[in-house]
Amino acid sequence: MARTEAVALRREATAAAWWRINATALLFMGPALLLVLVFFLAPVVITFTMSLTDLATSTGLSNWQWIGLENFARIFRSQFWLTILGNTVVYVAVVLAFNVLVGLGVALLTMHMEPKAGGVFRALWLLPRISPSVVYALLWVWAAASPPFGMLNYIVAPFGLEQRFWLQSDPWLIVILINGFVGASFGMLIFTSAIKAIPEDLFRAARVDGASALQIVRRITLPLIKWPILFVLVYQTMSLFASYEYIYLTTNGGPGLFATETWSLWAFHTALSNYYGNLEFAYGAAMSAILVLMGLAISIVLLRVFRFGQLVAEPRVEVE
Amino acid sequence: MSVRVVLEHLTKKFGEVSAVDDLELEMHAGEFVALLGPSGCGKTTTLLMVAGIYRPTSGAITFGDRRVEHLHPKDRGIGMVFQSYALYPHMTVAENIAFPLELRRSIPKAERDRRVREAAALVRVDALLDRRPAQLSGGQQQRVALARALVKRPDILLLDEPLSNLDARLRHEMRGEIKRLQKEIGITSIFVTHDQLEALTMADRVAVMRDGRLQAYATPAELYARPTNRFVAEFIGSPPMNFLDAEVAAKNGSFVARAGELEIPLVRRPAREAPEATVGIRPEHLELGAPGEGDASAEVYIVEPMGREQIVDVQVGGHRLRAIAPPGFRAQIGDRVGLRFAPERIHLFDRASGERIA
Amino acid sequence: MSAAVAERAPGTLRWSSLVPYAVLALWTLPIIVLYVWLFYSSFFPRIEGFRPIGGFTFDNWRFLWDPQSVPQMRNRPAILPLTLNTFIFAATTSAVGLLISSMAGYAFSRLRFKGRRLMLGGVLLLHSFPSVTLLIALFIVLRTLGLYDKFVGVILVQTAFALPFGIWIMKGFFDNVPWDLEMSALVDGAGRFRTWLRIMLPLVKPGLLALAVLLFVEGWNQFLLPFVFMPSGSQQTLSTLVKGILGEGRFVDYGLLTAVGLYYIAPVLILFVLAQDQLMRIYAGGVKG
Repeated sequence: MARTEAVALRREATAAAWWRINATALLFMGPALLLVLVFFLAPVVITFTMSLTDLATSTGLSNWQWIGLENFARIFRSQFWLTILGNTVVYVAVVLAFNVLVGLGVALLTMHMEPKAGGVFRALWLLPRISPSVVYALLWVWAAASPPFGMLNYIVAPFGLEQRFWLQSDPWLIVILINGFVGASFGMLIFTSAIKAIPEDLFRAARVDGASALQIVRRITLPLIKWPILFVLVYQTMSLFASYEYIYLTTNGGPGLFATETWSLWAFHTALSNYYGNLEFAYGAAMSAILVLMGLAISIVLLRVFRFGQLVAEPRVEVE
Repeated sequence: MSVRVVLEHLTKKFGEVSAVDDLELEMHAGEFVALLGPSGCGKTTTLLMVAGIYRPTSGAITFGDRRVEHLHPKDRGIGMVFQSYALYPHMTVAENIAFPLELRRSIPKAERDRRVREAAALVRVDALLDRRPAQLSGGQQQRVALARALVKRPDILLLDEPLSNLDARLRHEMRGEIKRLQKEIGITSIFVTHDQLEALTMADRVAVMRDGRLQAYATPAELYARPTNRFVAEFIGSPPMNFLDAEVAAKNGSFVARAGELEIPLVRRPAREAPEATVGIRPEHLELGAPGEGDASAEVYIVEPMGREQIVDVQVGGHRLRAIAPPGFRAQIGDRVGLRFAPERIHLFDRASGERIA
Repeated sequence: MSAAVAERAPGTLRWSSLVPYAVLALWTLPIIVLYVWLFYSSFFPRIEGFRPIGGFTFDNWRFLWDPQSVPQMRNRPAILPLTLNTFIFAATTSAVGLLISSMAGYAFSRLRFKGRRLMLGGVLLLHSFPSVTLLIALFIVLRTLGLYDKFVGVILVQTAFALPFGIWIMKGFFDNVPWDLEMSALVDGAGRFRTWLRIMLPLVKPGLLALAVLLFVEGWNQFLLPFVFMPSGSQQTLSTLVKGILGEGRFVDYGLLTAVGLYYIAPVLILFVLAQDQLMRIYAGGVKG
């Protein structure tokens, strides 16, 4: 066969094959792509564009105008943005510490006991995560209730502390506890499976060398789960930044004006549950745009620590 | 039904690395060809290109008179047996074998069942049709894989290391089975192996590959008797060929190879001048006799009795050579024996290129 | 690891081996207390701390058979429609999410296409995107599409939100199927779709089951989406009901609240007990990728 003929035939065939590959991929990815486009990508674009308008229930969908960066200016002019930002930072930092430390603790402790008992404890710690948020929230509302109902009062009574309505007097404590207990289970799961992946022989060798349980944890277990720990730190940071559901269901950002309000909750309140009925979508969008940028900045910084490439190895069959 | 297979200038690159480099191969209709070589030599890559799972970087593959290198595997008319057998664990044996037929909706159920039973009987798994793969032994699994490959009456049969997962005795048995089956059906077959014994015993012709390039392509007998280069000579035959670095010189009207104190008379004239050469001789062609007889005197290093024969390592002039002796041959470590190089069986290779020169 | 580490000489009891139990019991106490109270409180008219006022009663549960006698239930849909709504929501989002995730997961695992790496990174990114951002804009999107305050709209949103996780999980399961089986199917004559349907899906059945349960539970538990996007009465779910009772102000009828809450959480608890291993495996395995 003449060389040019062969080359032409091959190029044609490669083009035909190329199409086939993409058609098959389209079939499989289509529905997912559609949903992602409409419900993820479109909203993101809309959020950013909307933040430059004055869209609210007062203007309706037909009477809005472009107002440039006015929303953003308004945010920084308000007397609360700094408080709310501070709240957010405190919230993320403290709950993150709780989540990771307690998650790690539970994972380690359950691995140092009979497997069945460990399983029971882990299951208990999963309860908050698998419960409906409203039910889990109501449990804490009860615990924080004023006497004679709330459980917390009964616990602190023997220590001579004052009985009170915790949601009002110590809202931060409740916010941290409720988010902590539900968030710790995430780390617990990751760390448990990471510890299980460590070969038995390493522990046997350490025991033969005479290491105590504490030494084993410090010198062998912890170093070997370094990456999962880092992963949980990053993931939970992002997650906490964006979370507000439990705060909404318990303190609702209060008491008073913004005592426990975080940035994401502020955006939610502004745009979707304004007490006075004027839902300010654009203003809220501006707030959430800032939230996204904050999150992006943090994640870029944090993700530098990771190697993402390993998870995306190319498939081994080249046919469509 | 069986077709000729031709590979022309077949190349496969992964990034910068050439797994297969400009391979040219032609297989006759009904022939049983082995692709033989060490791991990484490109034999499996070649097979997967013939199957259509890999797309060649360049080159052509022809089945009969059809160019197929751009065709989907299902349009090529091939049956394939994988090293792991790749039986679908959630289906019974019957369902596994029937699968290729089910995919062609043109075949009615009655006909399908008949062909499944036919294929199963061919490889003698007809009693196992209701079992699941997990309940079968390795040998049985392989036969089911064969049945599945053959049920759609393909033009070409491909086998990837068909015997490596079997234990030694089963391997021996399946070797014969597969060869007989191929001859009975007459289907053009290509199989990949790293075991030279498998290749020699089963194939009509063997293609030896190394680092993506073809080293030799000939019948087992030719490969054994006249290997084209040192690599092939060393790879084929067990125990492997002995090699000695030597100089070729003229003497008394003919040639000799001198390796240190050893002087080996040559009957064939070297193809060209090669002051630096390598002499090759197979253990079975190294004759041991009484001390003083033969071409040289050697000292026994070790004796390994194998029942049917003995492997005797000897030291001569600083070289250690391996010879095969009959069971009756008496020798102990340290004994001196006479060594004779069967003159017709001496191979000569160029030391630098490895090419055969006599 | 636990066997190796917790081993001790037979017949001896060392104090140190009890330490994990003690510490963990202390830490876990709050959770135990909270959930025990949930059960306990629903069977008493009033309970202060753990001290009941009044005897054991099913009175709190009368919202099931006599909703009109409960003041908080008078302006709301009856319990059966609410339960049905919640069930349909959960089941539909689970089924649709499962289908779409297993298709896209297969594509990511086994097909080569342009932008694959980019999209895979995108999937991860989406998973950690602040939901409030999306919620606000989705309000506009749903209104524009005419899907606001419609059941279908909320189902689509929930399914979309579940995709990043679902796709990641399914990709992981598909990755674990040996390549040989796929190659064999192709050689046997199956196109990619049939390979997916006849060979791959049956082989990842445990994964499909686990994901189905997970998505169902997430749908069942969902509060924000129905709350924000389906405010009108007839299509509410159980979560909105509980929130309604909860938000009544400072004085809460805990008896009723816990009865409704327990009713709401019961199916999830049952599923959890039954499918616990599956769920744990998927949670952990999924993130490992």
